[in-house]
Amino acid sequence: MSHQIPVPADDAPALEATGLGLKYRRGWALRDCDFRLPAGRICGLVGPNGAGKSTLMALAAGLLPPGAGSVRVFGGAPGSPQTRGRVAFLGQDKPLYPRLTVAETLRAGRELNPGWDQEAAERIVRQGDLPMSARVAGLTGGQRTRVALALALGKRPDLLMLDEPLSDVDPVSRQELTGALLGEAVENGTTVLISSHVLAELDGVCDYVLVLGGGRVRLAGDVDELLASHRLVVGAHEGDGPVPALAGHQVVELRRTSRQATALIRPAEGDGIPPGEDGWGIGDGWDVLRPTLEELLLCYLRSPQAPALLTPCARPTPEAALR
Amino acid sequence: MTTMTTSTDPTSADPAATGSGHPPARTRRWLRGAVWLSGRQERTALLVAGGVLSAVCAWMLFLGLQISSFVEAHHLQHCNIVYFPPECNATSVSTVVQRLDQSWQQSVQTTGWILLALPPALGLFLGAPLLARELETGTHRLAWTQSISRRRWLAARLGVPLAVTLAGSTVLAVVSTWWVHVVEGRFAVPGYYHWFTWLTRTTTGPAAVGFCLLGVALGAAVGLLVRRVVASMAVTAALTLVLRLLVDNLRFVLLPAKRAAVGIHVAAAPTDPHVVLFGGQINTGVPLESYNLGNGFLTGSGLRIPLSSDSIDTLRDGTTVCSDNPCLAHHGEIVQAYSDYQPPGAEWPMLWTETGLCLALAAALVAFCFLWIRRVR
Repeated sequence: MSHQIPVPADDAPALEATGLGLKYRRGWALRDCDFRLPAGRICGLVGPNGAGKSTLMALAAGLLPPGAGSVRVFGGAPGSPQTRGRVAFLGQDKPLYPRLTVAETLRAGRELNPGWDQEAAERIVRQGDLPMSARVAGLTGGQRTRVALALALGKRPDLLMLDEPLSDVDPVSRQELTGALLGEAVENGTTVLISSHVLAELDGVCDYVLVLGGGRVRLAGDVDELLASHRLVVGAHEGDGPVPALAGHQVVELRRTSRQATALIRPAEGDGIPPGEDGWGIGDGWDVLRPTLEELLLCYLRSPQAPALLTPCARPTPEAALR
Repeated sequence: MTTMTTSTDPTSADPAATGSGHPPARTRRWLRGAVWLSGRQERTALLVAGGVLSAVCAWMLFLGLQISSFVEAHHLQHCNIVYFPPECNATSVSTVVQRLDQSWQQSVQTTGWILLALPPALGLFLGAPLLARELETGTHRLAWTQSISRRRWLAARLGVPLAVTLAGSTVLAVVSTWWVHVVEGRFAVPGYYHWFTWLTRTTTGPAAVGFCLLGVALGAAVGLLVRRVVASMAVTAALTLVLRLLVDNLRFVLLPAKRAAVGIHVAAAPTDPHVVLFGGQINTGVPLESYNLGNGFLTGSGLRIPLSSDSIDTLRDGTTVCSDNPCLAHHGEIVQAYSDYQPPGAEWPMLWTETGLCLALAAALVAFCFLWIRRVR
């Protein structure tokens, strides 16, 4: 397999954005985005509709020029000769040539990519029991997704960006495709950026998350670090007044029922992560729980006013800002 | 072909077998990379275009051979329907000439229209959807996120149809040039009277190639801007007409008109209503089959007095009579009648000028595509 591109050196992040912005006629789709995605991670990209997820991917794929700031892929400009072969992008609409057959679509991938891995691409197609001679126009949405995914994986990218890839795939295939995807990614050290509305799907798959909201970064970083630095606090509380037990903590979200209050808290900016379960200093009578990724993401999505949080590895390096 | 049977041969095996372990043998394939993809995408369109081209050529050959064998059988080689030279004036001959005209006039006319419509049709059905369909269905994003640059993709996307158009229209041009010279001046079809009339000049020789290439390039450039198939077809149709008129009006730009002049006596119209006037035409000795651009009188000081037509009235002694005011005002000073014209020898320079203009426009449109593609989102 001499034609494969070697796994990138660790020093260049797969994706690094500094002050990244893009304005459409109706307003900013993405604004002042700063974040870093180290190579080799599987990163979930989460946000409400219109948060800028697709825009971010299109910018990183070199399909759109940045309106402000910059985005770097393995240290290079998106769409440049150095990065073109290293990035695969599967857009939400999953464009394929309708008149080509599945085999011809894979051949197109082979013709356009020097590092093409026909075996990997065919494996994905075969698992779906797709005849190679079928025309793309006659495939169902899920089958088309499979072919598009095969095309993206066959390129053997170092960064694979998937925009809501499995939205029209049945649950069984979804599980199988996710497994295949992760298998390929882990085997080849591929960095994956995957956007999804199904938060449960990301749990256990992603070791990195990026939450966008209103065109800005809301939360970014290593999943374990993020989970360790947040606590879900549940306790008895009545009325609409402030909750004394939470004083001194940064509250991401506070929900109240008639008797009970549930809050997601995190250390105030600059405090660092508290040492242990006891370090949180919540009074007696309150349950302090480690949130699941889904709970964490939901809380952030529900409270757009919560300040942004980036773990240290998700902050762009100072040199990146100078480029 | 014996060397093609080795295990690394990608053309013989089905795609399922090519992936098992060995890298694809790229060197053996004739169409590679983006060129293969472009050819595959346009396969149907190019096959249809090739079919139409073959049918039109076969039809022209069939009709042209029928007509020319009739002409030879009846010795009508010199009988032109416009000039009707004396040897064709015999009743028997003119009957045959009329029979020829009546038998095939409709077919000749229809064929002329088809030939005229082919280049715009190429622009509409091959050129306009070329990039517009990619942009409309989003498949350009698929191509642009592969390992090749946008410009290399565009080069293949435009290069394949343009190369096929060049080859096909060259064949068309060869056949239609022969065909035009078989029918020219033999039928009461206005566009085919002379070498300079519109059906003749747009369907002869290199002009056909030029207009075909311009059609495709124009359609592609419009598609890149408009991004919708149907809309870009409409815009291409309108612009094809505009560019065609533009090129047509510039076709003599490199060939200044020639001027023929003869001495003439001009008098004011006689006041006596009983004087007999003889109708006639200005005869400045312009060679037969020239393209007349205008006639008029010249005064001794070089003043030009154009006439609206080449008909004039003369007195019995040959003196020309003024019929309009500009002439009346200067009739005492007029010394010459003139004609501006393009001689028959201008035909091929004219055709090459039209072709050159078409190719220059096509090249400019292609260059625009290469510049604009970087800005497309």
